[in-house]
Amino acid sequence: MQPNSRFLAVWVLSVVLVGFGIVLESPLYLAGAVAVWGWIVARQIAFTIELLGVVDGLSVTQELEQTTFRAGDSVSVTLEATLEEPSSLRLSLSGGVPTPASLGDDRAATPLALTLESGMTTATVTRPVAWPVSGRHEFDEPTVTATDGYVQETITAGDPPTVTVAPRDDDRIHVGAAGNRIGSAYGEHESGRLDAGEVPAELREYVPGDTADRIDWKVTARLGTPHVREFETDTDRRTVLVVDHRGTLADGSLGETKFDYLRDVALSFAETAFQRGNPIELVSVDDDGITSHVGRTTAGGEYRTIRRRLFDLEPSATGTLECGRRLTGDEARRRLGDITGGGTDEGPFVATLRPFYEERASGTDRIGVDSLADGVRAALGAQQHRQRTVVFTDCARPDELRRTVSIARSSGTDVLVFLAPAVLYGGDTDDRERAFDQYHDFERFRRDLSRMENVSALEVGPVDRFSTLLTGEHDGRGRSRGGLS
Amino acid sequence: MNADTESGGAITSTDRTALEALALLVTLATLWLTVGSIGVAIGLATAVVWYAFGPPYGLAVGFVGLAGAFPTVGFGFEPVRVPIVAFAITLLAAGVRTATPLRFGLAAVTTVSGLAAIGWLALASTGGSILLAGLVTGAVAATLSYLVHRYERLSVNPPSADRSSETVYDESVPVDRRTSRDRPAIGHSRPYETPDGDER
Repeated sequence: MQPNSRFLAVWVLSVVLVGFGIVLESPLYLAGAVAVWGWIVARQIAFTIELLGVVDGLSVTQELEQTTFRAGDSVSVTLEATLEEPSSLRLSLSGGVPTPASLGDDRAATPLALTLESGMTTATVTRPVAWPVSGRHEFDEPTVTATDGYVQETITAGDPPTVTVAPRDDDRIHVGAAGNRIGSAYGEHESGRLDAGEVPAELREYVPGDTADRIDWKVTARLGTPHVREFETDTDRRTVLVVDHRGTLADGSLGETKFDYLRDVALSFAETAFQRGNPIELVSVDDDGITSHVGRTTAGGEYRTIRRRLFDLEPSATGTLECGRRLTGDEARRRLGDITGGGTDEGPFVATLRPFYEERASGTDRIGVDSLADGVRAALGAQQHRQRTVVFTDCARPDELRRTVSIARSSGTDVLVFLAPAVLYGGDTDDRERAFDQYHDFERFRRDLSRMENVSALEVGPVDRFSTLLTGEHDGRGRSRGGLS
Repeated sequence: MNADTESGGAITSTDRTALEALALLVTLATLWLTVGSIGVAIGLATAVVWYAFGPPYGLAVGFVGLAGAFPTVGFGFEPVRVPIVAFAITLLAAGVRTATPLRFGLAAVTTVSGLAAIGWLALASTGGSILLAGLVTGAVAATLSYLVHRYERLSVNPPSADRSSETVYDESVPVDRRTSRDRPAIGHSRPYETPDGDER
């Protein structure tokens, strides 16, 4: 129960009456103060009783017309509140739209909120919500603020929905080399170079439900009854996704950062690998070291873990915001114990700090590394299997990337590098001459990587930015695409 | 739609207006009978402020006027007690502005009676010290207000709900492999998807 200014003013009034009584030595002022205090306490009790009735009878739903869609889509969200009995309290409800979602630009934004005035029993509001960022987003619980004009209380109600925002349409992402797209299906690769690697395992008799293409006709002819050959994935041929989510990957506008595009490609790559039965493994690295290392398997559950981890990754904050070193898990657990002290009643200070310490206390301690190369070495060092390594990063640290690729080559056979050119993310493509020069430098670096044995390097970026860049290339400024290839 | 119900029957907004007006009329009449024409002025001022700023301000104006009309009040039966009782009835009438007027009235009568008794005892035991009586009754009133506040917080957010917000890990995930992702969502019943693969 939070008092508002009117409630506090009544308290001040009662104190003034007591003051008059003391100064003028008249108990009647004190009697007036007693009457006012009686009103205050009775009003609080009435509010409490009414609020408990509201809590019991209020139903709040927050619904989306669909819970799975693509980044960039706009989906209507409906917030509905229904009271079993009308209440004298005024109820203000606010929907918990996740931070990455957008209710419109700042000036035109209308909040997902509604008000149940005294006596009303139902109200509904629907707002279009844009989702520029792919990932798994959970709504916050809707908040309900009840007030009688003197005091108010805020409670949460309803189950928050969770949405899955799939990567944006493939047509919006350019993956290719030297400005040429190589296709929209990530993970498509040259036969014999990055294929699935299935190996025959065992024979068994055909049973109803097996498809005809699984029948081994030679064995069937030899044995006289239909037989099916089982295959196993060649587990020596795994795919390791190395995802860089350091601060420089945050370049770009909301939902259009380097990392957003690289993550979309990584998700599609992982999905394709999973569909083909390739074992996949995920290593993510930020400025503090390795943030996750999800082990290899072709099991669907592990793929879902990798997919969810990719959705959860965000570029780490830049160094300017870092005020000190990161806490270890043990330090976080100790500090968590210090601030809570084992008690159940915690103030706002502890309630604010608790989630931060819990996050660190419950998380796996990071493997501290100084660079992407060290991270790859630490993650792959003990592995002796044949593998392909797919690196998702930018060109902010070219020497380090060369070292990373060398390390990956030494522990496997094939390396595929997806690179986000800085000029396509937040760069000034209006100055086409300068942008083209930057892109030319990037392309030279990409070609250098691709010349290394068993290494392929591809560029990733928004199609429209590439179009703008390459339009400038052909507008009579004396350059041609031939200069790139 | 503005009707509020409580055991004993429905109270409409029309009833509210009538009850408040009746209580103020009774107060005005008692003030006229005990104080005279100045009492009518006090009663009218009380009614005007009551409707303009709210019941507590109306009560304050009424008592300030009463104190002006009765500058010296003793401990025996005096005519001033009649309008005081009228003001108490007016305070009860203020309950019709809430959804639970009977419970408001019960709480108001209990609180005012208790505070008045404490104030009277304080006055009697301290030889008529208004300062001490004011401090004691004010402290008791503030304590009562705080207790109601705490009761409301505990009723709306019971301790069991607080406990549900504690971190509870999925027991199927080994302790040394749990991460912040391995805890169920807080405060609602969304089933948690348990990773079934290795995680290092």
